[in-house]
Amino acid sequence: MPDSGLLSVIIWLPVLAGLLIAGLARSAAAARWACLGVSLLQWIPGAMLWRAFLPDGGYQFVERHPWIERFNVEYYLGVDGIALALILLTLLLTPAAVAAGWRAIDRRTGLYYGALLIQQGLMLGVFCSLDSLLFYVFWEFMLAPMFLIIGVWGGERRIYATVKFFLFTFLGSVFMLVALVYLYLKSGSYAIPDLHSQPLSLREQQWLFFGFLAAFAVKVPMWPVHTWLPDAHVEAPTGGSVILAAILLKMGGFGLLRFGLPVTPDAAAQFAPLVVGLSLVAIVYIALVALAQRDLKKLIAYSSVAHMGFVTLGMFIPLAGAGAGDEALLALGMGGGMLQMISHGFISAALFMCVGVLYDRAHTRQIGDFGGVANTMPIFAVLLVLFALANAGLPGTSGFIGEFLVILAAFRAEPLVALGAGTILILGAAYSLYMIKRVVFGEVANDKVAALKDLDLRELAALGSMALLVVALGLYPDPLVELMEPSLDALARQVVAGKAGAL
Amino acid sequence: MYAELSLAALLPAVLLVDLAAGGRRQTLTRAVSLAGLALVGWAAFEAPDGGMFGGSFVMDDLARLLKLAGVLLTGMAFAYTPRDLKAAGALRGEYYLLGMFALLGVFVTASAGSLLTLYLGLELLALALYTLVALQRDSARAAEAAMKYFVLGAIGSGAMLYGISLLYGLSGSLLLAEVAAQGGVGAGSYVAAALVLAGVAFKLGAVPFHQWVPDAYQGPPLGVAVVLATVPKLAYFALIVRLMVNGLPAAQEQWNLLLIVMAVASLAMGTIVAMSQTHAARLLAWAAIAHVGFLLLGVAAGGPGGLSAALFYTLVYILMAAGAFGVIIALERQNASLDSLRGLYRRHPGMALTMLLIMLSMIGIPPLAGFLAKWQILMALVEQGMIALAVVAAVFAVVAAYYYLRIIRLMFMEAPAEDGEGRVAPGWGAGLLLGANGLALLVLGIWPNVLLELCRAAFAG
Repeated sequence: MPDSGLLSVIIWLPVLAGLLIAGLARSAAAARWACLGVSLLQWIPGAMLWRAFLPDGGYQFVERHPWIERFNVEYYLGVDGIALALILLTLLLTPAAVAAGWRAIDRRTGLYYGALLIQQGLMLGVFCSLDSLLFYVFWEFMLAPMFLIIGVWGGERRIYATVKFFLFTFLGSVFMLVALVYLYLKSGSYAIPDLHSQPLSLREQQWLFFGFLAAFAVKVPMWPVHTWLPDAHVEAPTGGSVILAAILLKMGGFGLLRFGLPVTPDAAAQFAPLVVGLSLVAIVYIALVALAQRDLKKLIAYSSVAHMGFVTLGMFIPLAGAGAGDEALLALGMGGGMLQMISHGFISAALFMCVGVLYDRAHTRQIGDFGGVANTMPIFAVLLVLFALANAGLPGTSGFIGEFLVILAAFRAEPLVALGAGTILILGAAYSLYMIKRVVFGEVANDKVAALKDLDLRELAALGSMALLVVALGLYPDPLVELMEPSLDALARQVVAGKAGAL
Repeated sequence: MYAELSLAALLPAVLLVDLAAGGRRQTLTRAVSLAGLALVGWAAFEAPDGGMFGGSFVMDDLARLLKLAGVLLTGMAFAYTPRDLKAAGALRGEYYLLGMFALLGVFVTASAGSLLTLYLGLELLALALYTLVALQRDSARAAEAAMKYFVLGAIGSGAMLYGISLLYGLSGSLLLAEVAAQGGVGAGSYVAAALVLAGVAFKLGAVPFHQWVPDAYQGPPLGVAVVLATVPKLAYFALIVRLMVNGLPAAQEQWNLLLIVMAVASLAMGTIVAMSQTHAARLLAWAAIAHVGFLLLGVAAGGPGGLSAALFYTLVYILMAAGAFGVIIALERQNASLDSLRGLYRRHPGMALTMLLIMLSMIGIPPLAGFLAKWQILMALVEQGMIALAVVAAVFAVVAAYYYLRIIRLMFMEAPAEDGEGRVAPGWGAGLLLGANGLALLVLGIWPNVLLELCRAAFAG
């Protein structure tokens, strides 16, 4: 495949545009429209990627140039099906994030929209990197725009939240950096494919696995290092929440698939019960916590943690139980995790936008302040109910497929775990429906609710397209599955083969 | 040698110019100084490798790199500072003169091939610095800082001189090459190494010899602090390489352990104390102690990898420190409390974005140069099997992020204080230079190859 440069385009176009917007945009409208324009323009190279991609399990659109020659660091880009799926998610969701802040962001708009676009470029860089140091560069630099987005345009406790977000993620990442340095000294290369093929003893893998887990568990986030997430979500502006929940969290799962599983497969298998245990705690305990929330954003934030628990469960349960060593099962579990991530990307983004819609009108996010919203905002109510049900895993929506596949994989590996996780789905339905009952249905609760206006065209366009995606993905996930399947199979083969035996 | 000679010739010339034309603004003195520095830099660049005076004076890649960095940083300091010094009533020709005396000290130390030249350079540097700190002579705080710096610095110099005399006694030679060849292993050389190391630690401000640092940064005008924080570090790096690494290789195992202890203590103490600072210069002082700890870990890792990583770290650090001081100077607050940074983005976006780059680089966020510096140190440590030390250093880098984030937070997320609406006008020259300083950190991070190879070449032999 020739060096098409497409990946460089989708990474650097938004970064450059973001810098220009931050530096030059004189009016809020100019900044907004420019940002929206660029994020839509990004769909063109995105579509070209999708069309030209051949799902064969290998890396494509590879660009490889030397960067820091002394240490064999390269500017090395390329995507497989897993990365491409997340790239498409990012491209689809960014315009929604832009639209979410359309009115709510009223000061320093140039900086906000610039930061948003830079953020997009850096996130895409993470998905495209095939050099681990380049990956780390994107991974860390991403903290800077998000730090500003939460800290400048956030709510009352924004500074606490953003510093916590930064420090948590940074602390996790430095362990990964040490692990990467170790791997470089061992293999003489920072290139990810080289790390995949580098033989390692079990003892080395154990340490390295924890280095990676520290970075990715914080990002996913897994219980018990999830505490930054509710704070960050509650304080972030809607657009920031959308990016955070829909894309940023997915990097944790992506990192586990890129590094944790293939670089240290034997340690991953060995510690799979631990990860599964943490995932189950997240699914059960965090769902209970979500049930008790009074703040809409907090509720969705906790539900994100619970859903991401399914993702890590899907990736690790095939390694933990009786099915260990079964490639097909591992591919199934990882595929379920991936679908769950993509689906959660759309659903959580839509839910945060719904909260944003309410907050822009009523300036409160407390569930207790609402009631009977269906009476004044019928269209909105339909969409909110749809997203809440999708969040609970209603068949026919995207939320169902991921959870179903994960539970299927769990059932084949450890039926008891599957039984537990499946039963817990009821909890997910419980907090979603309980929220719906209190916010949407019933009598009009107060004057504020009575004064609510239904969605305007911008909001309808953003939420409506999300609804279409959620339903379409729920009814016909095949294109996505076909995109990822060969890569997942290849990855599963690699993980099951292990590497300690090679020594 | 021409570089040193031309610098030495420049000094009386500047003095004369200042006598003849030095008005209140000192524009001419500064212009002559800067033009002279450019010449000196060229001479240092062109100087051929080799030794003089029987090896007492050596010119090699390390010396050349350090000298060029010294010229650059001195020039930057001169460009950043006039307004601040003027406000403090300390803008006199002596400032430029003393700054260049200090630079001459750096030059001599960087090229030192014998114990004598090494000490000569260091003391020339130290005397100039003591005087600089006391430049604002009617300020009690500056006088206190100068006193403290002088007394503690003299103790440090004394310890080192005693160590040097022991080394001479043991080896019978002043030449570092011969000291290294004959310096055996034994109680005498260990004592000498410990004394010398104590002196080095005094100079660098490593824990437990760091007490003078916060006062010396805070007491004098910021225009003096910026010189103090940057240029001398180059000489101290040369000192540690020439005297410890090249001069005392036999006792390395012993002094390396001491070095590691001091490095970790500096990292811990600098990082933790910096978190509670409210004065910008004091914060940077404690942060500098932490950075010195990081840098010393590179020296402790040793070998071409560790030493070149430490050199890279030193160069990047002084660039960051110069920029940070430059921005604070541009705020034109006599009392540079952190609050003067409040709402800087609203008052002067360019300065705020420059400071943002500098702070991100200090934290070690890629792709800024500060990250590459930390990353190389980590690589050197892991390569030597000191993985636990690498983890400790990395964790302290995270803790340190807290106070750098506080500065970013003040600039971007807080409203300007009541009296803080005042204008921020660095002047276009200093403003452009500051912007270039911030961008240089980004550019060095993205295209690090040239500097990286220069640092490597300095230890290729």
